[in-house]
Amino acid sequence: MLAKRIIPCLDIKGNRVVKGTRFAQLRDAGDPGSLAASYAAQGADELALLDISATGENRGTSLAVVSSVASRAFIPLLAGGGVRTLDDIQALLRAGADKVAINTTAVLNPRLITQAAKRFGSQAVVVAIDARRANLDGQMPGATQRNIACRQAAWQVVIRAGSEPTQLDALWWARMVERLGAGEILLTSMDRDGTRLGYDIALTRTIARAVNIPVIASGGASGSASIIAVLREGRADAALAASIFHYDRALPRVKQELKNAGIRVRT
Amino acid sequence: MNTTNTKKKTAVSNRTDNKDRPQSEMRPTIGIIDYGAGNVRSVSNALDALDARWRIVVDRDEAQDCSALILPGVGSFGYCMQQLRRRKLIAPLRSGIPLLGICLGMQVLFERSEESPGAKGLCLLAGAVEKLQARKVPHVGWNQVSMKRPWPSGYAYFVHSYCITGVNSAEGIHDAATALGTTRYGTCFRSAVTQSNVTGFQFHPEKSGSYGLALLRRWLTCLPRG
Repeated sequence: MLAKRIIPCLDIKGNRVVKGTRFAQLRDAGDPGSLAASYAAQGADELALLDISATGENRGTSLAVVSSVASRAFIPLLAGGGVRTLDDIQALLRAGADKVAINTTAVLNPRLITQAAKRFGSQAVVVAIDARRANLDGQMPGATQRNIACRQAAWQVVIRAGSEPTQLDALWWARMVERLGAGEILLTSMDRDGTRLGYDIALTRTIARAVNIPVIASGGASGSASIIAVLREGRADAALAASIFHYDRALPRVKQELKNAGIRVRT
Repeated sequence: MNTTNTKKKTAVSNRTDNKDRPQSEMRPTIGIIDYGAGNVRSVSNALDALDARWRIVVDRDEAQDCSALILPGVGSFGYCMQQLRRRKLIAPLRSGIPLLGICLGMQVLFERSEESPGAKGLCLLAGAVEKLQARKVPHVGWNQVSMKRPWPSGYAYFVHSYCITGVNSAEGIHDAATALGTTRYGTCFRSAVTQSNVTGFQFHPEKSGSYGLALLRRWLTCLPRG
């Protein structure tokens, strides 16, 4: 049986790690290579490197950052941000990433998911979904009055680093990306991102129950209790967090508390 | 090495060896086989961390003066064997020097695989590779490896759809001649094998944190000097 994963996330902007709240208010949080090495030593199960400036500034993810992290942290590496083409994916994998997250382009050009899965294997293709709680007005494709009638809530997909709402229903989109060949979903709650209010359990559970691929929960981590909740009630396979790990050495303590709570983690 | 894929201005280095590093003593040179499909960088990164001397090997000539070989594998069984044959790497791999196969690189040590019917493996170990019998395939993630002592047991990182089973209980597999480690995922399979000069890890030691590095270090210390 697989262990549940704890994934520290490094949001990269201009070759530095930054941290924001609700996708804005960025602060500097350190050098990617040093942070990555420190996280690996503290027991991180995987690292996520998301170049949050990439799509907006219309440039590719910094391969140098990926390469530097891969040479210092010997654990699986998920890289993303501004990924548009198969060549972008190949370059990130060659630089040392094991998986690549596709977000905006997956929405604009869903065929890329299938092509990437065929060429690099589905284990290398992660679709990142940024979701925000939406009104139940039935305006989203897939979220017709009929199929959201039995749901308590609906979430809409937002692209371009949280700046552009789409009319896609997150549940419908999650099922779709699985069908298209995604090997994993990185699900971020925009409402909770950087707030330390806990993960959006309802969102995570809704998506995780609907697909057969692993779901990484993201957005809102506040401590061991919130991680235990999203892995248990939220049914996530992995919990991603940034702020709670950046400023203190919380990772080993969190893993111990998960273990004490009876969750299977790598020790 | 073939540098046609080298990007013009990326800061990513395309090193083919680490001879530039200070050498405190004569150490064996590890050849990392690159047949074009896999990411060999994570393996060379791990060897750097262990202060081992390595070089990238893309054909028979470059394998000549290596005292051990690592075969990382990505792609399918049949494609891997086809590439090894094309690069005339079958003979060096079968020459009797210490060899470590990782992931698919471990699978091709065997005779054949359900993945590519008709394709012949390196036949260094007896047996066939089968499709993993589990609810979710591929098996991707951290799972427990039970190793025969004195090798340490621990959590390792797996990414695979095929495996070498042998017999269907952990105890039985440990009786199998080559079994070094076992893992349970749906079924119980051989996650590490060894027989004379040949060793195989189904998981990725280069991605398995300090546990993976400890296994690689152990393999390195068993190599002859010089």
